[in-house]
Amino acid sequence: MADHKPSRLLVGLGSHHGDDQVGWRLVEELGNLTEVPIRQAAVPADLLHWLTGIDELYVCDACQGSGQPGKLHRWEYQSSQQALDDILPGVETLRSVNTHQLGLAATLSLARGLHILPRQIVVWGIEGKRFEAGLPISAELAELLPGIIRQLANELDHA
Amino acid sequence: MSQFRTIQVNALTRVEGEGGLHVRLKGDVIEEVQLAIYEPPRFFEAFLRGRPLTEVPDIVARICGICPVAYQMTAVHALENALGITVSPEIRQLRRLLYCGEWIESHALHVHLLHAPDYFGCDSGIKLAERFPQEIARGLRLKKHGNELLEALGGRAIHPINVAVGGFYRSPRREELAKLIPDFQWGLDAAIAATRWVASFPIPEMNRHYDMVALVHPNEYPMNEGNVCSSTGLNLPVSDYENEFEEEHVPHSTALHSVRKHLRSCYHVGPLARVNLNFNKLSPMARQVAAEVSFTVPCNNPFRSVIARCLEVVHAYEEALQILQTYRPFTPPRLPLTYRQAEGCAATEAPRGLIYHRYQVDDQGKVTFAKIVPPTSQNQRQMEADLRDYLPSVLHHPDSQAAYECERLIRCYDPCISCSTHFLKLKVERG
Repeated sequence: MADHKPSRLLVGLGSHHGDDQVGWRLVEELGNLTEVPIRQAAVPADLLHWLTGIDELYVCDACQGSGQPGKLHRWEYQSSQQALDDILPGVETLRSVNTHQLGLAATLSLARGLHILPRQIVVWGIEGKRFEAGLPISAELAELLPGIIRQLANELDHA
Repeated sequence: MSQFRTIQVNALTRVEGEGGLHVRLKGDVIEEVQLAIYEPPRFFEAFLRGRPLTEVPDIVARICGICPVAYQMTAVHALENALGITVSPEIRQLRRLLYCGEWIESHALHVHLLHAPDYFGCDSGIKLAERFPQEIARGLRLKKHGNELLEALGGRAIHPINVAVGGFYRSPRREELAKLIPDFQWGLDAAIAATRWVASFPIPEMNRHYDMVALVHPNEYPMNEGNVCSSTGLNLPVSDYENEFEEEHVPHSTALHSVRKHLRSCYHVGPLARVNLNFNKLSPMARQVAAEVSFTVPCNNPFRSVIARCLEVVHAYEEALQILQTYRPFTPPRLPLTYRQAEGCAATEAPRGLIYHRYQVDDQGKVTFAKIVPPTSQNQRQMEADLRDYLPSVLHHPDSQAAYECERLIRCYDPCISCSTHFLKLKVERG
């Protein structure tokens, strides 16, 4: 019997505002370096329309306020090892939360209720510096991006 | 000696924006009911003064992430009225299509994730999804369709950027809209199924004597134009709106309260008012579903507003499909503007109810005055009046349950507090 090849998806969350673009930029680059299908989302709730049949989900998103620009945070959920609730407090610290939309933690909780939660989820939070409208990615973060890309590509290749 | 009792919700949940509710009782007597909006005022009307009128649609869209189209539509119609512009039938039809997208995304979100949990004692849409995964997934897909239509037509799913005074910056290519047709065909059936599901909810009985206010148009379900009409017989052109309605400051709220100017009374705007005053203009399928689920007008039960919202989603899908199937690109997408010193007003129907704008502009095309009256400001006093009548039936509950029951009633209005200040807390004082 042939091994089941897991269905994987890499999602970049972001916007056009300063370092909030980093999620989109990372999946663009990683899409060229790995075979993992990619998508870019403006709001976490977009994930709900893409998760059916996905076994492994990888998410890149900017975060703010817990370290130097470029600092990489990582949260991992594996259905065989822990409850989703174990990683949600960390995921909730990501900046993709506003009054009108579901944040990533709420989106993953909703995915669980809808029975479409992937069995493995890795969320990478990349610390940003500035998020003002219209600005490019900050020089500090841009300088660190090649190293972050190598690190994430390595993990994706060996996952 | 009577004891005071206070029931308070410090932050109402599953509403847009920040606000709370404070109820003060002495014995069984309700002394005070205050819907307290503490979100800071946002001064959009003042921001607009001195700005080129062409920037107004993009600035007012920022008042709300759920209903930006309502602000854009009302602004462009008011400014076009000031400049003496009548848009072409093609532009008018595309604007209705854009509004269909907003009604679908806003109503689908409210019905499935914000309001439906109240009928099953769930504290969130996430909890409700564990019980009704297929229904909530269907609702999310409906919302996505609305956002995709906004993106195709408006350039972005949130805060569209294609709306211009005089029309659109560009008319979409036929294929950009035609590709949405299969999803909208599925969506019409899904919206009908959602209405059947919602109509099966255990809906509380409550009947109020509402002064329901909505636009009424002779030939169509109201979106972008019509006379301002009420269930109590009012029928006036939008240009007379401020002769009949006015906003007041109240100490406990950063949002203005609207009242009937001469009667000093509250009134009700929103899907329930629209359906009541325009039932025969609903699309054929929406009327057919209404009959099937025994939704009849007049309907004065705010808890049945959730059905009215679903009927409007069915209508929006049916009308959107018809426009999508017949759409052809047109020129010019935008009519030229000739500036003059003038004043213009307009009212349209936001998902949450009637919205009114008035602008004064100078001969350089700059805004010199702006007035924006959103639906939630108009419903605030009505919500307080509803709560006064509803409270005696829930006060036997402990404070936390009484507060929850009050929140349920408030959520029937789908209040958008961010709009009204251009979030919610309940406090009840018992004595």
